[in-house]
Amino acid sequence: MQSIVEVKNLSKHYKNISAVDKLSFTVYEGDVYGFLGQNGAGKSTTIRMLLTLIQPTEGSINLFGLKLNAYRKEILQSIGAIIEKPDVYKYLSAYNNLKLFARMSGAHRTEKELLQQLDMVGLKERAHDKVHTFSQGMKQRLGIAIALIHNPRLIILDEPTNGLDPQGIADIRNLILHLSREMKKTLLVSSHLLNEMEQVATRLLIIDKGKKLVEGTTAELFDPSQILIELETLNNAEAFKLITNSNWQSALQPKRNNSLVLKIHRNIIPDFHVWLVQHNIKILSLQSRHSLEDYFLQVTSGEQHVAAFAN
Amino acid sequence: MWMICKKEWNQFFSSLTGYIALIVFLLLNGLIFFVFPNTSLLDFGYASLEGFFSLAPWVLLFLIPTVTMRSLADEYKAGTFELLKTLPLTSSQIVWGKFFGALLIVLLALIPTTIYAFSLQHLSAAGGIDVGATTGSYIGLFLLGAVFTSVSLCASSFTNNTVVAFISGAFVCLILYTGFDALSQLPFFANGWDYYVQMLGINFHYKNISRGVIDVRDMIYFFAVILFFIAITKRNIELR
Repeated sequence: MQSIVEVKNLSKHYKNISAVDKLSFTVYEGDVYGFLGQNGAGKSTTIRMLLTLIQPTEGSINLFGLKLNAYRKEILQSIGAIIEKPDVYKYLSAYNNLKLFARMSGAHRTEKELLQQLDMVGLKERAHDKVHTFSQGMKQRLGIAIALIHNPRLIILDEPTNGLDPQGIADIRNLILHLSREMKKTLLVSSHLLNEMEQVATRLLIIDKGKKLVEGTTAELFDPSQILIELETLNNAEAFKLITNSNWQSALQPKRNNSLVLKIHRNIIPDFHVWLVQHNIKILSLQSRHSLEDYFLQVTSGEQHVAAFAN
Repeated sequence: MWMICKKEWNQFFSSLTGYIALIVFLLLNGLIFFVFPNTSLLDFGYASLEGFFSLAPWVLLFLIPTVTMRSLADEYKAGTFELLKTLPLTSSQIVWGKFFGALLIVLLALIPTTIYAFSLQHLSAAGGIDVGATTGSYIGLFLLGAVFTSVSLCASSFTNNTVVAFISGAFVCLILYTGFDALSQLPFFANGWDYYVQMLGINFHYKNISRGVIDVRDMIYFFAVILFFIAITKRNIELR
């Protein structure tokens, strides 16, 4: 597999603060590379270095087999990117912004192609409206359209779901899957929406305090079919006793916030429901948690981060 | 580069400020040279645009920072500069694109003033205007405009505040235009150095060209100052 992004010992220091510390990772052609970390972990700093917005303190970045510093212009021609909150020219319409950025990227698109692109991100109806009338979600979609307009090989999306409503988030998820599966693009996506990343990423990198914690395919890191169940009953002690004396005992995980936690394969969750009812366990709540979230918390020193991500 | 140039042009005319700046420039020139009695070209007695060419730099000194104050400061403030930097554009393309965009607007402001020259030529009872000097003066005014554009663009590259960009741009233009002349009057430079100090200012070279003599040394001066400020601007956006 050809490597598209190859980062070696990348560091960025600001006086006494180390934003990124000897980070190394590789993105291969066709990957949907999930770039995960808490706020301030160094994701955006790394992405900014990939896009030459800031200079690394040390380390090397190769994209498409070329050194970024030496072939900046050639490399950027093959990259489409949005960084956090994409800002476009508010006095121009969505259509004119797209046309302008296409030309500045060296691509000349016909009116039909530009409208098709806006249609893909759900903005065709508002194509000729000025951007200052757009919501943050619409600007985000336009940013994505701009990132894709010159048909780049690598698409870098930094928190692409920022400011989007649930429908917008689902649309972005489908768009990422479409770009990866149908258009065979390579994507590097940073996000703190772990359940969204779980659904789209083929490979993951988790960083914390600028350092790499783990990197690998989702199958290597965790089994997405294993679901964590948080169970709260009228009498948790009694329920715990019943479960430890049953076949479900092996699924029990350490307790969390007074809830019982079990790790169960997705297919046998209905059986567990039936078993609970048969044993007259009075259920107050039963919630599933995503494996990636659990895995993430495991590798980033745990429970204290739940609140941060819930926010 | 030309896409950036075109964008600058569109941006300037996307708000009322752009139209107002141009209208005020032309209106002010019209009032000064055809209406106000003390400065009216019609009351001057000679078919000469000398008054216009000595006052026009002062008007440009305010017009050009108005044109360029948003060029980079607004991009920084609006966050669009970051998007611009992720495009396959070099910093030179960005800076020259913005420079030519602003310079075209300056040219657009100067073109209607040629009506004054044609009017005087036709109104003149005998001889008409000095075509050579007038052409030279227009070339000088255009080059002076280009220097002011590069200075003001440079001022805009230091800040994300358009007001600061305007004030600092206008101030440096003022210093370059008359500051060296004023400095040369100091007794310290009385021993022959005053001439060389004057040479550092724009006014010295502008006056030379206005006589209708296009000297290579004056041209080199104008282009060197433009390149100097463009280089600082380029460096600023690279460090941003």
